[in-house]
Amino acid sequence: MWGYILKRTAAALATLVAASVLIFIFIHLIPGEPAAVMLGDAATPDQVAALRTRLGLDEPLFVQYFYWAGSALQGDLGRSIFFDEPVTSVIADGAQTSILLASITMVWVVLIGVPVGVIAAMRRGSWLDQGLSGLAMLLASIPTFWVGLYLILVFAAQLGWLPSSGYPSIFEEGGLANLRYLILPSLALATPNAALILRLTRASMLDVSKEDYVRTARAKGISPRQVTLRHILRNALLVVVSAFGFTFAALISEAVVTETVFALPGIGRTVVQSILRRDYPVIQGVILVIVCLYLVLNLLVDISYRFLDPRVELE
Amino acid sequence: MLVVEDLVVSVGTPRGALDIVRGVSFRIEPGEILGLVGESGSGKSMTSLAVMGLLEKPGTRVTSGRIAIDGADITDATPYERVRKGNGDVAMIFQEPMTSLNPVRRIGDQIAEAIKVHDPEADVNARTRELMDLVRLPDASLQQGAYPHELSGGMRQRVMIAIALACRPKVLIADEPTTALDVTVQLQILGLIRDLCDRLRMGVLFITHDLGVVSQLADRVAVMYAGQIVETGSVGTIFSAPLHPYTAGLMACVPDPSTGHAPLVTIPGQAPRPDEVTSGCPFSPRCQYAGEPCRDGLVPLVRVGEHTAFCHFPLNMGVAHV
Repeated sequence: MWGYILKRTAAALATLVAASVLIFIFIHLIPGEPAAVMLGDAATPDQVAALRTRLGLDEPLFVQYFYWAGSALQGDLGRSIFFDEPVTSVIADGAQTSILLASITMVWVVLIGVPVGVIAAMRRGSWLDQGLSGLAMLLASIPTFWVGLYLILVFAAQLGWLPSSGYPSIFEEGGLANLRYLILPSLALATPNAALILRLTRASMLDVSKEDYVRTARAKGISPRQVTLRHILRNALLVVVSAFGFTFAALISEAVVTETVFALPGIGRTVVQSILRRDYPVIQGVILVIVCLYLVLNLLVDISYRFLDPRVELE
Repeated sequence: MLVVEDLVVSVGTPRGALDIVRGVSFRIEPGEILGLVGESGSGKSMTSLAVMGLLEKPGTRVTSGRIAIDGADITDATPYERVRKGNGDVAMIFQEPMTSLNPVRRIGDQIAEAIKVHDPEADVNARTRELMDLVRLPDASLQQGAYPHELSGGMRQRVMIAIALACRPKVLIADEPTTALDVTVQLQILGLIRDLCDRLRMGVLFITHDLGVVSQLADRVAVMYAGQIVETGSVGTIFSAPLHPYTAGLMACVPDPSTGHAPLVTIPGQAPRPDEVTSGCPFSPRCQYAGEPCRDGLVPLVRVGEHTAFCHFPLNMGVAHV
C-alpha cells in the first residue's frame, strides 16, 4: 500500500520536474529579447537591461532554471510585471474562485452524469436511453459560453432567481450565501462534462454487463437491481473514476471562457489578462499551479483506484 | 429430477429468428451425471443456458418446449424469478474460472452473496466455511479474505462450485468447467464433481467436447449435432457400440496412442450453420453411410434398450448391448 503511494508520488514528481523545465523554457521561446517584448515598444534600453537583470536572464540557462525552480519550491514564483506584486498573491485571488467553481461543477458532473448514465444503460435501447444519449450528445457539443448565455437569459434575466455575473468571495460579506453566484457558471461548465461522464458511464456499464462474472451473479438468483449495483456499476466505476481526475483538471482550463461570460474573478481570467499584458511571470506561475493541481488530482485518483480495484497493487 | 422436453431455442438475427436448439429432450436423475457432447456450435451451451434461465433475452429465447425440475415448470424463468417462486435449485458453473468471479470483490463475499439469496436465515460465516470445506478449498479462513486474482484457476473453479452449491442444487450444470485448466487440476475438479454428485445426490449436466472426460465421468451420454440430440445412452454402450455414425466418427477422431504416429482421423466436411440446416438428417451430407431416405423427411428413432439414436442406418445393431 505505502509502496504503491510512494511509487505514484515519485512518478508525479518526475512529471512535475519535466513540466517545470518546459514552463521555464517557455519564456525563452519568445522571439527576440524577452525583456524587451515584455516591456513593449515604449521601453528604453535601460529599462530592458534592468528587467534582464531582475529576471536573471544574463545567467547561463541551467543556472536560471535552478534559480527559478528553487524559488518556486519556496513558494516564490517571481513578481508580476504589470502589478509589481508577487505572482503568488496575483494567482491566489483567482485560484480560490476557480477551485470553488471547479469543485461545485464536479459535484454536478458526478450527481448528474453517473446516475443518468446508469439509467440509460439499464434501459438500453429504450426510448428513454435513446433520448438521454441523444441529449447528452447534443449537450456535449454545445460550447459552454452558449449554455452560459442561455442560463443567464432564463434564470437571471427572465426569472431573476440567480445573479448573472460577478462573485464576491465567501470570505466577504454574505458568506456561504455568495455561492449562489457560482450556480449558473458551474451549471454551464458542468453541462458538456456531465454529458461526457454520462456517455462514459453508460458505455462502461454496457461493457461490464457482458462480463462472465455478471452472468455468474445472475446465476446466483440475486435481483437484477443488485446485479446492476453490486456487480456492474461497481466495476464500471473503475473507468469512470479515472476520468474524474482528467475532467476536474480540464475544468480549470475550460473555466477560462465561462469566467469571462460570467465575469468571475477566476484564474482563467487572470491568464487571459496576463497574456494580453505579456505578464510572463504570472503566466508561468498559473501554468505551474495548474500542472501541480492536475498531478495532485490524478495522484489522488490513482490512490483511490487502489481501494476500488484490488488487482492494481500487482501491476 | 430435471426434465427437458422438446426444447427449442432461437436467436433473433436481421433475417429473422434462427433455431439454434431444435427439439432437445433429456432427463437427469438425482445422483446421475449426463454428459452432453458436441462440437462448437452444436447448441450444447445454448441448451445449458436455457436450462439455467440465462439466455440473453430478448434476442435469444426459448420458443417452445418445457423445462421442469421435480415437476415444477421453470421454462423461460430467470434464476431470480425461480428463487422467488422457490424453484431456485438449478446451479451452474462455467468454462472460464478466471473471468467468472467478480475481480473486485473478496471470494468470501461472493459465496456469502449466494448463501443469503437461498438461505436468508443461515449463519453466513458457518455456511461459507462449510461450502469451502465441501469443495476442499484449503484453509477456509484465509481464503475468504482473498480476491479472485490471488487464486489459481483450479481454486477459482472450486470457489465457483462453492457458489453453485450455496442453493443446495438438485441439478448442477457444468459448461466445460475444466477446459481452461491444466490436466492435473482438471482431474481434481472432475473428481470433486463426481464426489459431490454422489454425496449430495445431485444431478449433473456436464457439457464438454472432450470424449475422454465423458468416458471417465458421466453415467449417461447425449451426443448433440446441429442443435439436436442424435444419440443417447449409457457411457458403456455408447463407447462400445455407438448407433449413430456421427458418434462413431467422433470416437474415431480421438487419437489412439497405441497406433503410433498414424495420421489423425477427421470427419470430412463441416457441421452445418444454423441457417443451413434443412429437412432430413443434418449429418447426412457428411455421412459415409447416408442413403436416399436420409436426405428428406423425418429420421426414425432407433431404440436398443435405453440406448436411442435418430438414424436410418444405425451401426452396431447386431452387437450385444451391455
